[in-house]
Amino acid sequence: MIHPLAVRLLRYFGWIVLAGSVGVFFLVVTVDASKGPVSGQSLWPTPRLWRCFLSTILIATGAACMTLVVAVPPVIGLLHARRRWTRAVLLALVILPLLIMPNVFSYGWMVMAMSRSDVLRSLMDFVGWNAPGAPPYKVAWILGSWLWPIPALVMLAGYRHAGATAFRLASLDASPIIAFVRGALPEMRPALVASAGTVFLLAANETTVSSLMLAGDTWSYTIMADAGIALGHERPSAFMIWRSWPMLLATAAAIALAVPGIRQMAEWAGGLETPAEAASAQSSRWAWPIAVLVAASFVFVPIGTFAFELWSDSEPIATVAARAFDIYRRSALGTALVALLTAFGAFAVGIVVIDLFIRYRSRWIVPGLIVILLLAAAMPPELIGIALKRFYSETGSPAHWNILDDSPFAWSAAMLVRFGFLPAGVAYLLVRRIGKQLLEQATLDGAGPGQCLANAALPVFWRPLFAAGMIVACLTISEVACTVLIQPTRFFGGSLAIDIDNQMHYGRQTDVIVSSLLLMSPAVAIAIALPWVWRQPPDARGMPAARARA
Amino acid sequence: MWRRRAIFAVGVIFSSVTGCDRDGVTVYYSVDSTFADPILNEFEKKTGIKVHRVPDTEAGKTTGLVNRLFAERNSPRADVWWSSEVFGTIQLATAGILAPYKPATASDIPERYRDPNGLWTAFGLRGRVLAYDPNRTTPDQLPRNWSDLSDPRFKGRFHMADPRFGTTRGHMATLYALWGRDAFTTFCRKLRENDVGVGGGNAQAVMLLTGGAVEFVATDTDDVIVAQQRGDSVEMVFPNLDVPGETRRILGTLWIPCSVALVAGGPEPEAGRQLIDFLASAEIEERLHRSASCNLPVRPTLRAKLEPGAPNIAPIDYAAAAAMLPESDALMQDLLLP
Repeated sequence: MIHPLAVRLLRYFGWIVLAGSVGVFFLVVTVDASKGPVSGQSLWPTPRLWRCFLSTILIATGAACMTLVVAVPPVIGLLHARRRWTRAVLLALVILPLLIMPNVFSYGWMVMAMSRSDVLRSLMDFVGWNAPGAPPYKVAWILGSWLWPIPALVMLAGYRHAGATAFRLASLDASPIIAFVRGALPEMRPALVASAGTVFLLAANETTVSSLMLAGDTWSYTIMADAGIALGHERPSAFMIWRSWPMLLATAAAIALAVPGIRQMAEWAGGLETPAEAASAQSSRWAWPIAVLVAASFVFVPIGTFAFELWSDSEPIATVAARAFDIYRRSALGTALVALLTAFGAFAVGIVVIDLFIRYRSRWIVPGLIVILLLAAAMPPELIGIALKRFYSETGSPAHWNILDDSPFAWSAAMLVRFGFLPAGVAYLLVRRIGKQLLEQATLDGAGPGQCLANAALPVFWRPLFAAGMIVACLTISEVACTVLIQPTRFFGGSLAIDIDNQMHYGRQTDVIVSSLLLMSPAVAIAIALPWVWRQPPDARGMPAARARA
Repeated sequence: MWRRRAIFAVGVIFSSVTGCDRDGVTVYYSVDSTFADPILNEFEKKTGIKVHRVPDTEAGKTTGLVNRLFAERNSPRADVWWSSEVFGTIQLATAGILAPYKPATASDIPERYRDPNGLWTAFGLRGRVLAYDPNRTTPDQLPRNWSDLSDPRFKGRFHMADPRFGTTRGHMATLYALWGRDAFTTFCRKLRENDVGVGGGNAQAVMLLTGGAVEFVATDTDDVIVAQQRGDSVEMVFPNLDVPGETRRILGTLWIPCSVALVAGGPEPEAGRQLIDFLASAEIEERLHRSASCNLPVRPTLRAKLEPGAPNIAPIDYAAAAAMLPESDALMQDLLLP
């Protein structure tokens, strides 16, 4: 049982977190942008910027299409996985790419192209990896490798609620693959469009991949360079937002397209369990191995490359690892602390959402908050970093302890602007689908809002919220574009991801290879743990009244 | 169970607050971390003064941190500015963002590498070069002067880093200062007609070269040397700075020094001065030369000792070039980054 005082403090903390992150962001951006563009700034983008914009739209669209295709085999494999351990393995492989820094993928492919092995280099030349016009395709490929779990997870959730019946019917006279693609998938079309829109937005705003793949003419890379220019202006947020309006319009369009899908997904529960068996007359014994092969290849190609390069190097791995650990020890510790703090803040945000749902029966309050969080997350990460830095730099003098330079709070706040929609969305989906009856029952038994939250909702929902916090922690560790602007000067060594990303631009280096492997380890641990942590909350129908009264 | 979790959460928050180390010196630096961090680590070990580091990023090379110093001028957070070039430093000095300090360890540095008012000290030169792959290109196929790049025979073969950032920015400003506005504008227009590739940083330019995407690139000596040590097939030539369309010769190539300066109003000026003394010392300049960066010493004594054998250094007025930065930036934006 959770003490109501602790829950109340968590709720207050959640509001402070929301105010200090998303609240500050929108306040600064609104105040700065409302004064118009900075002096001398042209509203109309240059031809080069339009080229970058178009290039990015094409790359992001390509990545979104790729993820929809790549997601199918692993999902079919999961549907055919009969044993618990086979489902757990495949689910971990599905989740893992999303938790790894995208530039680790880029670096893996880069190292492969620069490998000491003639065979590997020849293979990369054969597929056209180093061809003159290849960079945009490389970027789309790597972004797709990173983001395909998103439609995969949507397909999994959608199968339970929308696709299973159609799949069974189609399976009567079609193979499992055809039955899934032509039977089940159309039933979840809006949700798949929403997932493709999410991939599109994440791909369009991702900075590190295009930089490493030498695709300089992309929007995200150009905007990241512009962020350095923006700092020289009096109102850097205004400069960035008035410069970014084409991408903001594209973002709004993507969100509008995704709304029907979001509504469809809101009807689904938030579990990750797959059906115990594929309800198909023809189950394939090859589905699971092929699914593992497809899912694993996207992760183990860069890992395998790193392992091969280390093995072929003359220096012992232990020596390199010790040196890498020595170089990055402080920033690793600081980044880990920030990740934990952000996860804690994410958990608190989830509690706020549940509490709002309990207290206010209005249909618009919680969805309104989630829309605000989604809008914030869709903003260019550089804009988020600049806006929060501008605010928190005014909160104290560098000569004394201040939030910006001496604590990770501003950094953590920026991460919650970027990823706070995750725990909020999870909390909303859970409480909407499962919690209604539970909460109504608790209310009928005389529990107030605080008691409902502490004794009815939290014991049921803390696991998914904790899992959402773990995902946010992983994303915090990997984030670069926003962090580079907001990381504190006097808190440990700054961001580990930025340190390693800076070194990746110098090509194949053993230290960086080892560091990339170390950077993957939290993602691997969380991907393995996540399916066990995120267990389906029990169905609340028929829960004894005594439990709600406690 | 919940009590333990609450204690853990409080512990995270507590260490977040106390994990900061207020004592020490804060340095903003655009020198590559690979070379800079070991030097800063040694300073920490020798003096016991903690160094809080704000490094540069590949995207915003030097310019990003210069703009950050401008933005923080009313409430400076850095104590020391250590740049991989000197032009941005001169801009900061002109704007009054730097404080005068003449390190005693730099008394043997020639005067042309020291600000007359003590606002900055420069050392450790890196040359601006054209890098090429000897397996695909021979030196006689390359430009001998930077102005030759406007020749149509080099169309589609050349790439340079984003001229708004880093040493490329200073390079363009130097050409503007040497050639004058008209000649420089014509040069940029012809570069654009030649489909010059523009974007990324110097390290990325070298990777474009070694990947076979371009034939030759403008970059710095250390980027070529690092690539050679990596086993890549890359060599470099040192083009002259002759004025286009004129018989006037400016023999020698552009060498750009690193620079170090004390930030005015920084939180820890005394520690900052100690760090500047350390960075501007002959020991560190020798160390930079012996590193993979292979910076050319400015000290005659070190040159005599190390015999670096570098090509001619063109006599450049860095301050005059830095004064042209706003004009050259605007021309770059209009002509090469439209």
